[in-house]
Amino acid sequence: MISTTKDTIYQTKIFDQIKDDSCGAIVSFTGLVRDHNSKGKVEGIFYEAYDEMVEEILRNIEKEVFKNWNIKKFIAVHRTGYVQVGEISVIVAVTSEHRKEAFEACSYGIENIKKRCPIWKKEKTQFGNEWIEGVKISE
Amino acid sequence: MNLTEYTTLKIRLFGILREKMDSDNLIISIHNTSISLKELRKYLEELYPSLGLNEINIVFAVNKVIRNDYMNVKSSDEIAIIPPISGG
Repeated sequence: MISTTKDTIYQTKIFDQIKDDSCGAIVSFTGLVRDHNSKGKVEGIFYEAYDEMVEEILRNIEKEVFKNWNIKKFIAVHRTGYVQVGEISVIVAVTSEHRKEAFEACSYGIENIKKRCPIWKKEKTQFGNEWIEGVKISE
Repeated sequence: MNLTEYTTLKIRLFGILREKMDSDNLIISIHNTSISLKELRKYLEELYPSLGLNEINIVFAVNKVIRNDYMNVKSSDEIAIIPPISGG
């Protein structure tokens, strides 16, 4: 399952979907909204995405992961809209027979989402709303 | 009779650029049937100085794929300006 979503992401639901009786390992990365930045308190983050392009890139990342590692399932979901402190902004989860493949594939997944997916965030702080300075998108 | 051909391009905006223009899209007309992304960037810089394209490290996506400045785009293409990203 790969997607962007405006709905709350629940880790337990993702765990139920990724779990597979033929596999001995699940590795996941869960990104959360922090309550602070370098200047002070953060109340939440507005996430904006070029949804159609993100889903296409997530499909490519999924293909690359299945090509390069012997894994059983791959899930990558990114939130859009307003996400409060403590809520999940992104989750990547991988199931495989053994842990090594799952660790490597999960790491590849989140690193490539951050480098390649057109998603932007604006923090809501005590000083107002501010777009986060990002990085140039990678192909 | 005016024989000049115009092509309309729709350019999608996101993030800080969408907010600056208070719009999801820019609609522009060009004198030819296609234009290179390099020329388009220059044209947009002149037409919309408030976008600040010369100050931001933008790239273009065409039909949801990142493209370099030498690609030509036409009216049927889905063009988007991608400002620096910050997902995760």
